[in-house]
Amino acid sequence: MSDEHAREPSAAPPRPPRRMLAFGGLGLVALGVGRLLYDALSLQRSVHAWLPLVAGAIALLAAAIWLALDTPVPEGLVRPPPASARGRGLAIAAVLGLVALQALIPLRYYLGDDAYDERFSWRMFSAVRVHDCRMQAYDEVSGGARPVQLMRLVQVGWVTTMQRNREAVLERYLRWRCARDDAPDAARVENACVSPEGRRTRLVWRLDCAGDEVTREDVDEPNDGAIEEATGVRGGGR
Amino acid sequence: MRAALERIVLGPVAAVRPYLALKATLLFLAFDMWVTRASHAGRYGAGGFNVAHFGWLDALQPDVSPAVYVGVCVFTGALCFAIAIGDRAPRWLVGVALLTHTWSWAMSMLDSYQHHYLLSLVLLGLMFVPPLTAEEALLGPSAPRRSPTRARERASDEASDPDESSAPGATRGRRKLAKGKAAKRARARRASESASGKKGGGSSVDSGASARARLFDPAPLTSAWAWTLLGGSIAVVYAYTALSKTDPEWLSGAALRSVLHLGIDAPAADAPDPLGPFRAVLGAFGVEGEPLWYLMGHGVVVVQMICAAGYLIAPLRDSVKSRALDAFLIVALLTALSFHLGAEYMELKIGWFSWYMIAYAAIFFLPARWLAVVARRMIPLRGGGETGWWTFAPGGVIRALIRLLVGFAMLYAGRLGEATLEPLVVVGALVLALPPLRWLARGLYQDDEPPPAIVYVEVVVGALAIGIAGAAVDLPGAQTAGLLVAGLLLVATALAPLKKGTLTRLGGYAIGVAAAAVALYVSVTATDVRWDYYRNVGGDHRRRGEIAEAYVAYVKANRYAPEGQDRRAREEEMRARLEAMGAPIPEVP
Repeated sequence: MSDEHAREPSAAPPRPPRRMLAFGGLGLVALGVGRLLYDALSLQRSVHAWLPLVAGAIALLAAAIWLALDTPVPEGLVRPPPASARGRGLAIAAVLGLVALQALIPLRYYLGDDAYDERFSWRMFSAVRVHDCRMQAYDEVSGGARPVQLMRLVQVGWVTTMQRNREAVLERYLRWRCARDDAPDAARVENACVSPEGRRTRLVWRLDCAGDEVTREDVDEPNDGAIEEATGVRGGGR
Repeated sequence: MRAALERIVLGPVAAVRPYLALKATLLFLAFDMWVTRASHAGRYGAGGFNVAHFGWLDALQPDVSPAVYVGVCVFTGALCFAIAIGDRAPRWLVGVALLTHTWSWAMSMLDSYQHHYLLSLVLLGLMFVPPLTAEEALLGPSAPRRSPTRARERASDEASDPDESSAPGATRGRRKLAKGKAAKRARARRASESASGKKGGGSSVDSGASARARLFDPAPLTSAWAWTLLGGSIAVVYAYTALSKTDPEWLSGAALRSVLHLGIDAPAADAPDPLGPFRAVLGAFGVEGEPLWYLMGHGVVVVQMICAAGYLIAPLRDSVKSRALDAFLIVALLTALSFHLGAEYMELKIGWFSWYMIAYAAIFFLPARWLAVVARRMIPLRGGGETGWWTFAPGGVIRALIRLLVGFAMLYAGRLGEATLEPLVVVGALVLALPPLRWLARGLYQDDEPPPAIVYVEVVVGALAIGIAGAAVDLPGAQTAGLLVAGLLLVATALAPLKKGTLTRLGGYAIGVAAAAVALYVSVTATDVRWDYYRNVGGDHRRRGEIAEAYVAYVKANRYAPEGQDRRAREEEMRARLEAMGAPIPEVP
C-alpha cells in the first residue's frame, strides 16, 4: 500500500533554541523531581521543588507547540480540518471554551465556602470522609424535640451523605419531612464531627415547617473530648 | 495567533487513537454499567426520598426507582456495546449514550463517583472525534471499501475531493496541485488493484511482503479537534487532583495513611499491607518509617502533575518528531501506569476508574505505530490481507463462533478470580470475542454488500435476543430496557430505506445488539450482581419495617447467593414475622 496518505511527519530542521527548550524542560522536570526526593527524605514539606517541575512541564509544552508550528501538516489526512474558516473557528472555540469551563467548575469548591460539597472538584480522596461524625435528626413538636430514626425512613446511603454535611441533601430531607401530612412544627438535624487532627465541628440544620428558609448554625465545640454519645447514627462516612 | 491555534487544535493526530479510545470506552462502559452499577439499584428511590445532582433534573425526571436505574444501566450498556460493534457510529447515537450515561449518575446524589462524571466528559469528547471505519483508521484514506461500485465512486470522489485542497492556508495553486495529486493517487490505486486482480479491494489476500509492509505502515493521520479537547479535559482532572493533594496532610503522607488505614510503621504481622512491595523496594534503599510516608505523599502529587502535562502534550506528538517529547511521554505513560496499577493493588474501591485511565494512558502516550500494529493484528479489515491473524477464509464461521463462545465463557471464568480482576477478564474476553463479532457485523465474509434479507434476519435476531436477555436476567427494569432497545432497532430498520446505505450499516448494529444481549446475560449471571442487588434491597426493606418486600427480596437473594453466603436466616425471620402478623406469605416468581 502506498503510504502517501500516512507518511511520517516531516520534521522541521532542528533548531538549537527549540531543542534547548525541549531538553531544558526535561532537565527542569528532573531537577524538580530530584529536589522533591531530597525534601521528602529529609521530612520537609516541599515548597520550592514545584517551581522547576511546573516550569519544566510548561517548557516541554511550549517546545511541542513550537515544533508543531514549524512542521508542515502532512498531506492525505483521513479527515482534513473543516474547510471553512468558520468551521475551524468553531472547533477552536469549542475546545478552548469547554476546557476552560472544565477548569473553572472545580473552583466552585476550591474558592467557595462549602467545604463539604466535593462533587466535580476532582478531589479523588475525600477530606470529608475521614471525619468521624455523629448525626441525629429531630422533629420539633409543641416545644419538644423527638428523635427521628433516619435509618427507618431513608436509604442508608442518604444518611451517610447527610453525615458529610451535603447541604442539598440536608435541605431536601428537612423539606421532605415538613411536607408530610403529620408534619412536625420544625425539622432539625444535628451533626457533630471530629477531623483526623481532632478539630471538632457541630452543625445544626433547621427548617420551621411554617416557613421556607432552612437555617444552618455552626455551634462552637470545645476540643477536649469524644463526641457526645447520642441516639443518632455514627460513622466516618465510609 | 489564529494560525497557531489552528495548528494546535486541528493539527493531525494518528487516527488509530480516537478510534481505539471510542471503541474501548464504549465496550468497557457497557460491562461497567451491567457489572458494577446495576447491583446498586436497590438504593434508588427507597423510602420515596431522592436528590438529583442538579435541582432542575429533579423537576424533569420521573420518580427514581430501582427499575428506572437498572433500566438506564441496561439500556446504556446495550447501546454502547452495539455502537462499538457497529461501523462508523453516527455522532447522535454516541450522544444518546452520553445522555443516558450522564442521567445514570446525575439522577441521584447516591452516586458520587467522580469518574462517572469524568466518563461523561470523555464521551462528550469522543462524540466529536471523526466517525471512522476500521479501515480508515488503520489503513488510511485509500483503504478499500465494500463493493466495486462503491470503490469506483470513492476513487472518483477522491479525484475531485475538495477537502484536501481546501485545507487551511491552501492557496489556489496548492488546491489545484492537491487535486492533481489525488487524481494521480486514485489512478495509481486502480492500476495496482487491477494488476493484483483485486476487485474493489475485496478481502483477497495480499502478497506476504506487501501485507507485512502494510502491518508496519505508519499510522494514518486525521484532524480531530475533539482529541485535543479530550486531552485537555483529562489534563484538567489530573491537575486538580494534584492541586488538591498539596496540602500538608497529603504531603506528609498522613492522609494517605488514613485512606489506607495504616500506621507509620509496618502493619502487624497478621494484618494486610497494601504497601508491601513499595515498602520492600524503598526499604532496600533505607527509606522507611516517616520518610517513606513523606515520599509517598509527595510522589503522588508529582505523578499526577506529570500525567497532566503528558495529556496536554500528547495530542501534538503525532505531527512532530522530538526525542525529548517522546521521552517525556514514555515517562508519563510509566507514571500513569504505576499510579493506577498501584491504586488497584491497594484495593482503593474506586470501581473501574483505574482501568479506564490505564487504557487512556496507553492510547494517548504510546507511539501511534505500536497502537496501529496491534489494532491491525486484532481487528479484521477489509483489504487487510494477512496483516491480522483473524483473517478468515471462507468457512471460517465455525472458527468465529468458537472464538465467540470461548470469549464469553471467559467471563464466567472471571467468577473464579478476585473482584479486582474482573476488568482484566473482560479485556481477555473481548480480545477473543471481538474479532469474530466485528467480522460478522461488518459482513467481511463476502465482498459485496449483504442483501436486505440478511440484514432483516440480523435485525430480528438482535431484537429477539435483547428482549429475551432483558427478561432473563431477573432484575427490575431490565426487561423494559431490553424491549426499548429492540423497539429502537426495529424502528431504525423501518426508517432505513429513507436514507441510502443505512440498511447495510444497520446489520452491523443488529449483530452488535445480539452480542450485547449475550454479554448482558453473561455479565449478570457470571457475577454477583443479582445477589448484591436483592440482599441489599432485602436489608433496606427490613430496616424500614417493610417485611413482605424484605421477604421477597431475601428469597430472590438466596437464589443467587454464592456458596456459604446465603441469607436463609433472614428469609426465615421475615417469614416468621409475616406469620406472626397474620399477613399472607407473598408468592415469589
